[in-house]
Amino acid sequence: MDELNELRIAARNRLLCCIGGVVALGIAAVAATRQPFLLFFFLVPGIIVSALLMKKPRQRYRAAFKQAYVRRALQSVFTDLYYDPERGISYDTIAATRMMNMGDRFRSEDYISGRYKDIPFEQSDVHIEEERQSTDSEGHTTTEYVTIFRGRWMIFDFNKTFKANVQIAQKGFPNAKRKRFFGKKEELFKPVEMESEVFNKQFRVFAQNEHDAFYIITPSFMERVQSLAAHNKGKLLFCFVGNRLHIAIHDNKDSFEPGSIFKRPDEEKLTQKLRVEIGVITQFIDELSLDNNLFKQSQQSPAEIGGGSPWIN
Amino acid sequence: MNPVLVVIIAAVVLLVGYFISISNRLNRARVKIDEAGSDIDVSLTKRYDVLTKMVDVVKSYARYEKDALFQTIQLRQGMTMREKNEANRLMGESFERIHALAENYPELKASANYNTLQKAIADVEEHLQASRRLYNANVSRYNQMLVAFPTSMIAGMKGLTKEEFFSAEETKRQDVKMDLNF
Repeated sequence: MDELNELRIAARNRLLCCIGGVVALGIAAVAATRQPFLLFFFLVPGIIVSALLMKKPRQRYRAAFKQAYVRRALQSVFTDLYYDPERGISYDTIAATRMMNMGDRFRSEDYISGRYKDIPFEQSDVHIEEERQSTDSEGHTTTEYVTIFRGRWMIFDFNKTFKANVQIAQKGFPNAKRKRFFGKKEELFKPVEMESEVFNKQFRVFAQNEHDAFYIITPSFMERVQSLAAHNKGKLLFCFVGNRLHIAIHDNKDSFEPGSIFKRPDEEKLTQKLRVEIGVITQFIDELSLDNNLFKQSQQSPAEIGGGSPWIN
Repeated sequence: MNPVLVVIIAAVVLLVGYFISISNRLNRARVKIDEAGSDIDVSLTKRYDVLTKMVDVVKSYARYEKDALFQTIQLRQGMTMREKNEANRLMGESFERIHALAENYPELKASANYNTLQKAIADVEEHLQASRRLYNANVSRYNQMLVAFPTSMIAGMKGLTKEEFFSAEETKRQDVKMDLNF
């Protein structure tokens, strides 16, 4: 903790020096020239230089926090752990689901893979932005990047074998444009109405095959999904693809990050914060009973299980 | 042209258009029921396949006559929902008989084949439940259309009647009751 605190103090001091330096130079320039607008000339490059100077100490502090505290916390819960704070789930993995608007700028970090209750999983923080252009009355075009997804992306082995892909999207999940959602294969996905009106009010279901939607989304599963939605502040997206379950939580949060550099880290609070963030992964395995392998039988086809067709004409 | 005539023609065109639209909706709902009915057939087939496999495995341990384990269940094309319900019920009874028998044969219960088939049973039951729910959801929507005005009027003209639900087995209902008591 002392070592982490030293790194935090180094980062904080560097930041304070930068701010002080920029302000002092600006004031000196204004005093010498009596031109107040000169302050802005110092301010913009000053902020850029400060950001560059801050990068390393901040990175050192972050890396120390993640390697020491986050890794230790993860090791206490998961087996077969692999943790790399710098990389994340790849763009291709998420794009391959064909269930997510991939935007124009993609970033992911805090990659974790491991097992919980012997269920393999992967997760990372993902940030997807979309380029938007706007033109004012004078014809000037400005381009900005708008966040369309920010939160966790998790992948679990699912405990049922299915053939068609299915999606459950909580209403309000920010990618409701189906054209962007499913890409060229949009036409293969059809909206499915489940028998629960309450569930239909809260979620939209799309599937390549209605039977598989009803096979995966049982009445008990619907209740569990509703319970998970109630316990998570963000909006949820469940993608059942290739016998795996992808879960996205759009909560605008960046997980496994150290606190402010202006606050001395409190070991107890940090442990509690990490426990909550790790709990986001384990709650899905627990609540959805993904460790129940009752239905995950050998990959036999119906024809292999039985003999010929019993139907008579 | 006489404005009254124009109004009458417009009203007739609108009525015919509305009739066609409702009629198509009813037809589509019927097609969905038929599709869901075929889905039940597929699930019943899977269940039957696992049952026959199970009987073969049990016979090799218990030397029981096949007829004692399960009554003759015939699945044929074009079965009514009542017949499908009956076939499903008979399959359920056969599974119960097999489970009861397996209790007396520990080596059977411990065999890999028996355990593999137990998992297969759980999965086919789950598929059957999915088919049942999908079918019943479609039937429910269709039956609601038949009683709601003005669809009911057009359905009456077309001679459409309510569809029968595919019911859950009695044992499954009891399972649900038990679960609720906890």
